[in-house]
Amino acid sequence: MITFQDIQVKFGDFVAIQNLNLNIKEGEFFTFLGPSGCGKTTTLRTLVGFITPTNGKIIVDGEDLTNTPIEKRQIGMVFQSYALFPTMTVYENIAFGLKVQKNKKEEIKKRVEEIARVVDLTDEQLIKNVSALSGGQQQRVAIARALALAPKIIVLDEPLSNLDAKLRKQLRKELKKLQLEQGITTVYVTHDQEEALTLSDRVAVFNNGVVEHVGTPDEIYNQSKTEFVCNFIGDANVISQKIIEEIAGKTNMKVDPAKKYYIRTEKIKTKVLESDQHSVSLQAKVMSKEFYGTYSQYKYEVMGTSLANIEKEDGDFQYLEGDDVTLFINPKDILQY
Amino acid sequence: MKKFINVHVHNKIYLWLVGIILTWFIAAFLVLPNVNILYTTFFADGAFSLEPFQKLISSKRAMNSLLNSFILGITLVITVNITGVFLVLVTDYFAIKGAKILRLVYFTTMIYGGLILVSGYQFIYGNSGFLTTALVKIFPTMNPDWFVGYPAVVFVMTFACTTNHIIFLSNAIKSIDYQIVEAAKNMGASPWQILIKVVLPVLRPVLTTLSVLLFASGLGAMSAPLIVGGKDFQTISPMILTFANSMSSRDLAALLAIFLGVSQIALLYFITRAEKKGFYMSVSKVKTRIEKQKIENKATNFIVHFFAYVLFAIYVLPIMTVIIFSFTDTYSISTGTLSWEHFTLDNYIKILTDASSYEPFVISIIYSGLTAIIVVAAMLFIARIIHKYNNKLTTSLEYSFHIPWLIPGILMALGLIITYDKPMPILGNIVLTGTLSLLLIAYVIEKIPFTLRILKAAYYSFDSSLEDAAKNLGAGSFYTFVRVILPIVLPTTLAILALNFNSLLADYDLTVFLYHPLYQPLGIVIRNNTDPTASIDAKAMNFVYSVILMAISAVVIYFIYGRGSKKKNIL
Repeated sequence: MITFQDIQVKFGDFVAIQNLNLNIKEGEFFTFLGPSGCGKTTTLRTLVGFITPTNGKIIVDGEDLTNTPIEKRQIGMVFQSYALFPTMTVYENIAFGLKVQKNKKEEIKKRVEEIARVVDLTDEQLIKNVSALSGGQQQRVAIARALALAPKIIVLDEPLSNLDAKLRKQLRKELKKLQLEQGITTVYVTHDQEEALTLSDRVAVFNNGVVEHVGTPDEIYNQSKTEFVCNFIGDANVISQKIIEEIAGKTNMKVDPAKKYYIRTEKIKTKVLESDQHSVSLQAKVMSKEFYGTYSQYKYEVMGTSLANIEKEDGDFQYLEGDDVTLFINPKDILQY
Repeated sequence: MKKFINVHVHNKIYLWLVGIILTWFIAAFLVLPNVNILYTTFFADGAFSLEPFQKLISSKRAMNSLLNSFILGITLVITVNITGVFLVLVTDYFAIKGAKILRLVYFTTMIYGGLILVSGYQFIYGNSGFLTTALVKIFPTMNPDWFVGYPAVVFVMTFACTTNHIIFLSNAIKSIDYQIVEAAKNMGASPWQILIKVVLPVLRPVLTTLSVLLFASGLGAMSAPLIVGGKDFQTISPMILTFANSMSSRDLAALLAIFLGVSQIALLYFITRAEKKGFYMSVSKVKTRIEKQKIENKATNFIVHFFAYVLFAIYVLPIMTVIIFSFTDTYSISTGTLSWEHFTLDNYIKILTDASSYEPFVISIIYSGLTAIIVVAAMLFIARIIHKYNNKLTTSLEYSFHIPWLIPGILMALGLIITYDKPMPILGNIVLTGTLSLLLIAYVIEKIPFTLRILKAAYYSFDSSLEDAAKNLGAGSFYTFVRVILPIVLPTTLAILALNFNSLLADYDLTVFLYHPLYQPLGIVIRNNTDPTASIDAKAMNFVYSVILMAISAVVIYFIYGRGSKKKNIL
């Protein structure tokens, strides 16, 4: 449905996006993930039409939209700041685009009420000024406004970043539900990996204007293609040369000294099933413990280097600082770059 | 224990003493003169009388001045808003070539305003003005007195009153979240629709406030009607001045001043209500800076550029003329012509060597300097009390010190003259009218509300935990104030000191009622030098005064809003 073809965006000498090639399928929830300044918002704004690429094409449904004006692209946008018009009521905000299109009054009313129901806005809220609403309600208005024109695509630029953690989780679920109900192609920008992994059908991880990995959340997490993706998503340990040689010595794993080896914290175990024949044991000493509520993170000294893992806090499992522990690592969980 | 009681008792005595002094000041200078003016107007013979109203209605000049003031107020709301909004759109909203230099020139009203601006315009467009002389040479039948009356006053004031637009409207535009413009674009709105439906509605509350202020400026206008209004277009303020000079018509002057006062209170009430109702709080948590909009239509783009540069010429012409002619001799000034051999530094040498030329400057510097120091020192202390002791008494104190904001300067001046032209027990029977100190007192009163407001804000803006930390470390109140608090509020204090000093240097509106005839401040001299009968030397001195005042203002503005404000958030 959406194709980014050799897209390059330059601001003066600075290259913000470099030869981007990407395909987004119809009805897909697709997320651009990456740290600040990596080019994800620039790519999104290029898709919407706020930025004209220096090179390349943007094709939607087979049609080249590269030079099409913003308003003719049929892409609804939800802004990071929501960009609600402060002088207008909720109703007027949602109706704005419909009025610009010179729709009939009755049609506008019908559509606004219809879309308000979809995002759970009440009639009382419709007549309020947007500043009288809470952050979550403003967010709904922003989504309703973007959906009011029945766009082909909806794009959301870090729409949950201004909300508190609890509301963010709640709206995340609602957003996903809405997308599934409407079946609308959604492009989502975030720097929050949890948001990306829970919401998306597929994720593109950006770094320095380049897409490093495109895949499902599972692929991105468990089979990170690059060292950057491995480090950016989740928590990973760098495995020292000594430990990797120890593991290699106990298994048939081949070690390349030019490579770096990683293992995610939750993949280092302190207990394994008896049937597990592949895990390698390492002697470790507990150096510190950080309590996070549902789990704790432990830091260990292993062969003069450090490793960290997380353990579920189930009440009957606890190590103390200085305890000797046996750690288990399965070579198949080791990522190498 | 003994030490504690000592400190406690001393503190109480000190607070009582301060309270008594402040109550006396408020009663003697903020309340009594204003009550007295009401009394002497409506109780002239000891009994209440509406005779002054009858006198006012039967005075054609007075009634005309009232009508003219209203007409001027309404006209300015229209003309200044159109000009001001255009200036701000050109400098801050649309992508216009040379916007930076345009902005700089449009900003000149900050350093070139009031009396010196009017005299500058008169030198260009007046009957012996530079431009008029040139035009008469080309069109001999042209009336050289064309720049007089209502159109001339409106012209001068339209371009003189855009400062607030440049400051406040410009800030309002900059504070708009650019994402709302993008959102409107995203939904298909045209640039015109975005401007009308999205941008201007956000600015509406600021424009409402500015409109009310403009109406008030028109109502109380003094310099422009006085200098270019001619006989046919006199407004309330010049008329009050005329009536106040004659004992038989002082009641009329007082009534007109009361009328101005009531209007000002009503307008302030209106502004406060509009502000409470109207200000749009941006709902954006992450704002995006506004980006300048390209005008895609070539014809519209040309028209906007054209008018932007016409306004540039209107603003820059008087300043350039004043600066250039300040370096010429009397021949150039009298003929309105320029040639190399007539350039000279004589005017500047004269102001340094001739006592009659530099005395007005020295007098104004002394008055302005003393006022600035007194008012800032006093308000630094009072604002601290208000900040530290938040109770009904300090709240009443604060409200009382805002009285001068409700009362026009002219009403206050008349009140002081009428009240203290005879011995009054509240002042130990000292007569103030006709003394040098009356003008100083009036200046101090006029500057109290603004100074108090800014200094109070400065106290509230500093982190109170610093004071707690100092206390915790054993510092006493005075030591904490001097070593911890004062250094933090010092940049604001110095800025307000400079602003007060600068704003009084060429004051005319208040000065004309209260100055001592033997010690004429600069404003009076500049005004006298604009008189058609004034000598060429006097006109030459006006140019020099204007250039020096502009230079001082530029330094002050730069210090406060320029380099200084980047380092520290001064105002």
